[in-house]
Amino acid sequence: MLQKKVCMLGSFAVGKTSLVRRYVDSIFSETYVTTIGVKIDKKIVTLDSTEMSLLLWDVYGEDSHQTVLPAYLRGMAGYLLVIDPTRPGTFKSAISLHELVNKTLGPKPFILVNNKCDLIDDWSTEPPELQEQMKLLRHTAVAEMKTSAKTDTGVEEMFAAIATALLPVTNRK
Amino acid sequence: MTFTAPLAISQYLNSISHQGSNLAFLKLDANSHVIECGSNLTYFDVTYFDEDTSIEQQVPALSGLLPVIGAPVIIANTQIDSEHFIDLHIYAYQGNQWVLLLDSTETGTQLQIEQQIRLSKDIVNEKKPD
Repeated sequence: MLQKKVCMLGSFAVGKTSLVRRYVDSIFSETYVTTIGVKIDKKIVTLDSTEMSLLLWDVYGEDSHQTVLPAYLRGMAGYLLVIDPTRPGTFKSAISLHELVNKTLGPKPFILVNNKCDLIDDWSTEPPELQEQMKLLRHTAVAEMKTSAKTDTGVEEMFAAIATALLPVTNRK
Repeated sequence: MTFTAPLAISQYLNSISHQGSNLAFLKLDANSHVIECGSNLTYFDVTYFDEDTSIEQQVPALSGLLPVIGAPVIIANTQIDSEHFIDLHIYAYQGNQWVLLLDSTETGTQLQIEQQIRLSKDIVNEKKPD
């Protein structure tokens, strides 16, 4: 069976762990519990009659005290780059993590994820100084999606999108 | 339980100044098949390996990490359940790949408590109007 490592990357508290919990265990909790290091989950998806084992690496979020270490990215096939648009600072983290991936592994398929769409009225646009970089990020992404782990919006679709992007061309219909 | 570490492990543990905690090890061949394993595997809830199957198929956490050439790969604070953390060390030694599982629950738990407090404050500060 195909096995692909997918990392959840983003600033702290953007909802990376909640997205994985919703997808893997169908649960959501309002309580914020920080991730240190990594939590690894496995889920088997079927795409175009091909089974794929997705290894989901829920990596600790970037914050003012720590950046993601390249070792956690080793062997990664693709990633979900998660932003919380209610917090403008999370755009900058997404840009720096994308740069880290490119520097460490070269370009890899990724989905740009705008999480917490249940709070869409509180969303802000990216800071003006980041608009050019965000434009490039959107252009490079396989897709940009809106999700909410809380309301279970777009979660299944997001993981299906990254899995599809990782499916070898010969396995695609 | 008395454990006499193979030289590959004792030398490595010395090099990282590791102070005793629960540990287990796997020695892998060039195809990532287990050729030797030992120490406290049951602590890590690992009791059986199929020698004919790649370790990456049996231990998802190792997927994509092997083989290691050059500097050791360290994946610190891997959460294995709601209460336990391990540090994963992978390195090459005399033609084999060695995987060490070191219990880091004590330091990981403390780190999580400190980080939780710090980041909860950061979130509150971010949401304060300028």
